[in-house]
Amino acid sequence: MRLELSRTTAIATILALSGAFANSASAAESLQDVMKRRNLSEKDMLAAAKTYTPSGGRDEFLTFSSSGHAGSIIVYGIPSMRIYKYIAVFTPEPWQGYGFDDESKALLKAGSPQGQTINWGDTHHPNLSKTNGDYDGQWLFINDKSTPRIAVISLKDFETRQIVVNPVLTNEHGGAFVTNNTEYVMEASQLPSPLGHKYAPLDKFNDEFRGGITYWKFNKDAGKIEQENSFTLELPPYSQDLVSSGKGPSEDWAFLNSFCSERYVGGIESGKPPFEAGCSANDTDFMHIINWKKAEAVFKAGKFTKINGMAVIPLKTVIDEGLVYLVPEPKSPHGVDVSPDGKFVIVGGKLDSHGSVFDFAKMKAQIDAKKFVGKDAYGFPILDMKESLHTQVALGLGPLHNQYDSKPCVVYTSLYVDSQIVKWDYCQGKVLDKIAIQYNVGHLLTMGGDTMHPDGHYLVALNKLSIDRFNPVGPLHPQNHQLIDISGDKMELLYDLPIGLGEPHQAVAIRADKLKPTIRYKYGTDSRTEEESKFAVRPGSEKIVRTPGKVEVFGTVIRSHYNPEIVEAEEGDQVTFHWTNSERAEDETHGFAISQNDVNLSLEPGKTASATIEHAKAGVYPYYCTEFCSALHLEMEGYLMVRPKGSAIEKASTNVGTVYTKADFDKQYKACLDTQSVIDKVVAYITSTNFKDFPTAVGQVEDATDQLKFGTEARAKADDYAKKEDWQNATLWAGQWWQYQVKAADIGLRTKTYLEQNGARTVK
Amino acid sequence: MTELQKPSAAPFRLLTLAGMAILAAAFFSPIWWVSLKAPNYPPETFPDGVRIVFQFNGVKNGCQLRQSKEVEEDEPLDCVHEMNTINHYIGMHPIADGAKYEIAAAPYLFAGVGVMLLAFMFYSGPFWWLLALPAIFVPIGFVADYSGWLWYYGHTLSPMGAFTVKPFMPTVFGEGKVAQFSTYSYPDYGFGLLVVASFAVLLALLLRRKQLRQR
Repeated sequence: MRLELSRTTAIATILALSGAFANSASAAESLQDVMKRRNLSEKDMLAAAKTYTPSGGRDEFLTFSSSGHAGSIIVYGIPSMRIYKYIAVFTPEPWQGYGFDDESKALLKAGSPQGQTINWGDTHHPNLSKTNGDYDGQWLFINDKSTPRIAVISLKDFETRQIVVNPVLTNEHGGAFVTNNTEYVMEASQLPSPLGHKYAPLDKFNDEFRGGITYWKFNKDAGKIEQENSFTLELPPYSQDLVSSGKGPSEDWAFLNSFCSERYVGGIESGKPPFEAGCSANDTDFMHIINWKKAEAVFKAGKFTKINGMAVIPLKTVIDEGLVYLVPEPKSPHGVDVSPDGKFVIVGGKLDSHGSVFDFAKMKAQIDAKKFVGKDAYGFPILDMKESLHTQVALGLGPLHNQYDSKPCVVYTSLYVDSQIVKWDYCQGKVLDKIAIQYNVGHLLTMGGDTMHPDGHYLVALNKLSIDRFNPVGPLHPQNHQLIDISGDKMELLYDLPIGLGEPHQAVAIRADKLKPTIRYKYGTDSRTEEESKFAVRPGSEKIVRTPGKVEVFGTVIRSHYNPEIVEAEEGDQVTFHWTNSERAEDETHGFAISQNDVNLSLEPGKTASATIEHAKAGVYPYYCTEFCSALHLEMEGYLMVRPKGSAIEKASTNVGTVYTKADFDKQYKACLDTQSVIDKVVAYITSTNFKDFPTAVGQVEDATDQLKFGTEARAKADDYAKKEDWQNATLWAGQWWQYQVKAADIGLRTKTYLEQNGARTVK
Repeated sequence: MTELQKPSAAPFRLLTLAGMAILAAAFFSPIWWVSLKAPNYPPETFPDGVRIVFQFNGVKNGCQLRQSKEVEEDEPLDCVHEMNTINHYIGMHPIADGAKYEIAAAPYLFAGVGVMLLAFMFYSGPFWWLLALPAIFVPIGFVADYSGWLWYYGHTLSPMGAFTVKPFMPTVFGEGKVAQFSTYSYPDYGFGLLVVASFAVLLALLLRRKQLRQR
């Protein structure tokens, strides 16, 4: 009734307003009018139609983009280019409670070297877990370049599950790339250092400084990297760069780029030319061809030394066992990308204007025949470059990265200097098309572009500079991700997405239907470990445990209250809150923030999270819910009362707030009974249909049943107090019963509408 | 011939004076400009490209403060600095290395040219005409020196440069292409002043010759 009224009022207001502006607000605009007003061309309209996703619509692909030194992952959809989420990885992020609850603090600490907590990371290359060379939609990995680390993210809940610190490397770029069946996550060093976080003077660069590639063993079922089953290959002190796993025929191999094989050490302050000059002097650097399958056997045979707890296969063993071969590649290359069939490896020249297509079979033949043109300074065998190449194609200036199309032999390469994407045929060695992008593209992304079966269709240029492409927002500019349609012969630019957080490097995109995330946790889950939290409690068994110097709260949250709501502590106590969200309804997340403390929890349905205040200071600390959870969200509150040391708990006096009488109780009780009759009618309708055929409806009915169960419990308490003629408590509990009823009714009505709209049938 | 019939020295002196004034103005004027354009210097935002201007008193920034209602900018992009940054990728000398002796000597050379012109106005002894020649040859001298330096820049690329580019002669006049950059090199109004001054002094020289012959 009230809703009807307010709607009528609103319409009347709109009519009155439109009367006042009769000239401008005539009939609805036509498409042509809008095009004219917004200065849109036919081409713009086509691009809009290809990207626009109507309200409630879904994207075909989900992209996981690094956010560079913002230390997180950005999730957005294709083709809509709508941002869905930022997944906190190396950097605390309060919305997700990440780095603000005890559980994630422990995760960040375990993922930092030497007992400190590093609260940021330079994320570069997100990679999805693969089964038989294709994405399986289970796990996501990302590296930290600054402090070599790998993070594991679960695609069940889009949360970081583990961070491992590389105990031997001090700088890396070649992570986090996976082998064809995610047996290992690869992490290759960049700036050489003595292995094991040790010191050596720079004049011993050639002898003491080393590169390395770590093979982190991944347990796919547990979703855990196992350091005890991981190993590192010691490599020469070149600046190793990106790495790519072989596929199909080359599955047991990996291909690792390098630059600065000059082993130049700069020192501009003492008059030496800088690194940038000395590191780009030679015409070629070395691509490392790694037989990781053989390396695994060598590791398992125990031919390694332990450095800082990491199994390292020494340089000499790496050479003697034939684990790594070198082949010259155009100098200072960047991208190294294996073709979907695993037969070719394309290297982007960066400082060379060619794309170099290496033929795996040709390289393998030289290795098998032990036909080498020489050895590097450390004794690594070098293959003949010419004999290893399938072809080299002049692409343009600054070719960086390569991504594959679903069409055979078609690859796309980013041209950083030319600000272009080039589409070319790597079998025939010819350029097919070029498109300008704005500006200076780094990585590029095709759908499933690094798998054995790319999906084609779209490409995203991850541009480093946006300069003048967006509304100005100050000196720090967003980067520009440009969506390009690659389904036709000519590439077509569709859409610009400003990236408002961080400096993305690589991104990966997976078909949305390959993902199936959960919407709620199993009751009492520690989301950071995905295990049952030992701190979880059920409604009704909440407790406050006091030991000398410690107050530990085991509570629950639901729309819209905390239980307990008042917590007493003494100055100096360590106060810990463990909250479990007892909601089962989708999207009913609650928060927990407490005044003057560095605490914010995100409590998704079913989750248990904790916050510890080490030495409570005397005072009154209100706490409240930070997620707008319901109409009574603002009332979702509580107090931590920290009384000065030595003072006694004062007994709560009765003259607090409103006093309720029998009349109040009767009124509330009647309202409850009226509401119940509405609920009964809705329930009767739902159960008269085939609602069980609709998973959405079934889920909602479960939620509503939950609410009604809570309601029944509250009603029992109200009845109990009424019997004792305690009208104060009887009224309050009747009120609580009504709260649950309203929620149940709301869900029930939504279900009813859903069933009606989706053509549910009446059944007996 | 009587004194009164002698041809007047006034026209040639006036012309010489004008030439001197114009030369003095040219000293402070842009003589030649060079601009680079590339995809990441979009014309809407960089209407001048990356532009530098050559003057006798140094190499100056040729980029203007952009007129935009959208952003607040209180200084124009320093395109001398920007050009140096771009050039270092191919190992090219910084702009400040070029013509530094010429630039240092320029005030004295110009003063010298001025003094010679002054003398030219009154001296009529042997080789009087030599005093006017430097002023006449300033424009040619500039182009010769400028071209020489461009050749030097294009042919002394440091092997430490990240991008290897074959030695090349940068365009003196007109448009060219180096890597992703389109280059533009054209005379500015200061060069026009030099040419006008040159012609003025040349004309003065001819007038003076006529006058002296008639004397």
